[in-house]
Amino acid sequence: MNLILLLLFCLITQQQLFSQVTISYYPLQSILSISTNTNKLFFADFKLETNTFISNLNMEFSPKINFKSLDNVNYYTGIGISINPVNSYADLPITNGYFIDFGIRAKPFDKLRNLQLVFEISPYINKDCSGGNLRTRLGLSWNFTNESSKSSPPE
Amino acid sequence: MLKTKFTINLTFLVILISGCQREENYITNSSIGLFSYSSYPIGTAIDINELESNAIYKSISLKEFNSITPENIFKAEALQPKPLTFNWTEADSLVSFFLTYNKRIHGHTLIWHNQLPQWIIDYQGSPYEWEQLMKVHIQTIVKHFKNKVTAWDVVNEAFNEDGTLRNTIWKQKIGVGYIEKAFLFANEANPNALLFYNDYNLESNPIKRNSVLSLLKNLRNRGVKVDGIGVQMHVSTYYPEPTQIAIAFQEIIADKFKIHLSELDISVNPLGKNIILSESLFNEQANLLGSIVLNYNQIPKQYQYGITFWGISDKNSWIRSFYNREDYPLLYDDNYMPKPCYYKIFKVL
Repeated sequence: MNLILLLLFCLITQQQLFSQVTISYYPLQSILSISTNTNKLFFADFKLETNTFISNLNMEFSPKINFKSLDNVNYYTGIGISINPVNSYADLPITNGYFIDFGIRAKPFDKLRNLQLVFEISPYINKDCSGGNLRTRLGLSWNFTNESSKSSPPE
Repeated sequence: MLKTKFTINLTFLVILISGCQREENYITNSSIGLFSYSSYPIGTAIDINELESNAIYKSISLKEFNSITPENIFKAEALQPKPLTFNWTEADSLVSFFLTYNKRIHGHTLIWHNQLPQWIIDYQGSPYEWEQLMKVHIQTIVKHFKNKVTAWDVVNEAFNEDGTLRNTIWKQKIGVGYIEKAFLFANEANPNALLFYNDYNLESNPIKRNSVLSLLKNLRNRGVKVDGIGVQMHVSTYYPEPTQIAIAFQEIIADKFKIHLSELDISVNPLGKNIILSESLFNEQANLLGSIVLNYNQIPKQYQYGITFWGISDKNSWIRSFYNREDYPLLYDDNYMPKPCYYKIFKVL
């Protein structure tokens, strides 16, 4: 039953998803990211750790804001939560911790403005606030939206 | 309109995920030990003095664990206190006791720079004579315990945190090739024994881990038998994160080495502060242990050598005396009562 519902969900969302998403991959960290249109002032970001054990399928959810948008580069920030849904199967807390992202999203090619180069610095603290680390990420991104012009900067 | 559709779909997905929650059907059976629940060996380090003087300690060691690592009595200062004079009394006693109960014995450790007898520290000789000293030490011990000890930590803690080779007395006297020679000597003495390299912070320090893996892969390429890596896992509730530990496991098995979580303990006070003991503190410790075991469960069977805790009770932990700080890193409290981490391991095994 769950599988059927999941398939339905995928079918319904498939069309609209690809008209408004940005997909990124951070190869050094094995992270796949799906975001709403990253050219907008506000966008949402979902990250999934890949190439890892099932027990380590960490996910991150984060709303973001482009606080400065230039012709070929956006500067953004956002706060978020890291979770591991698989933990619920072992009676472990689902929440891993919290983070702040500071990122640069560059569009290096004028004729290929959907292609973006992403760099993020992401201080992370665990849910008990007893430890953390400073994470960095470098990735490639493709914005599937037709609109690839720069976003409106905040007034 | 689009936003509404998205919200509906997102709600749909959340319901799906929450519908997948496992039913809680676990009941702890206190009459069955930890190892009975596990598909791989669960071990502990054993202090011979506690074993001989403390009935509760002895009882827990037999009930809960099926792999035994002598904490100190296999080290050089204990086994060869004088040149060519080997003291087997305590080691033989411990080995024969646990073999009676069909426990696996893990030999720790053949070559280390600490807990050496004074005569080795003072030894004057050429590189060749040092090599012979090392050969005699390794082969006498490995042959003595042939068919009794399953595996050996051949070399212990040979790397610095920056990935360089530690300038141990063995490196100074024999040269950088002492690690390779140690593994060759051990294999000559007992080709059936599993041979491990053992070190700390391999789960959290990728620079050190890469250096160790690089050296061990190189040894293998040269035909030297190296079966696995002892990842000591002296970790804390502060550091590292479970995801870092998972990455370490993946990198090690990618190079086809067995993994032994060889000295597991979880400090709750790594900074040595004045701490207030609370349920949440021990739950945090239990959750980290749960994550570690959960990740270890994901390792393919052929690479799971087992998990060994570095002691039984907080009271016996090396951390308190070594760092002179208040800490509670093990499965049992000072009164040998199981802590939340003990119950957690049952749930994730």
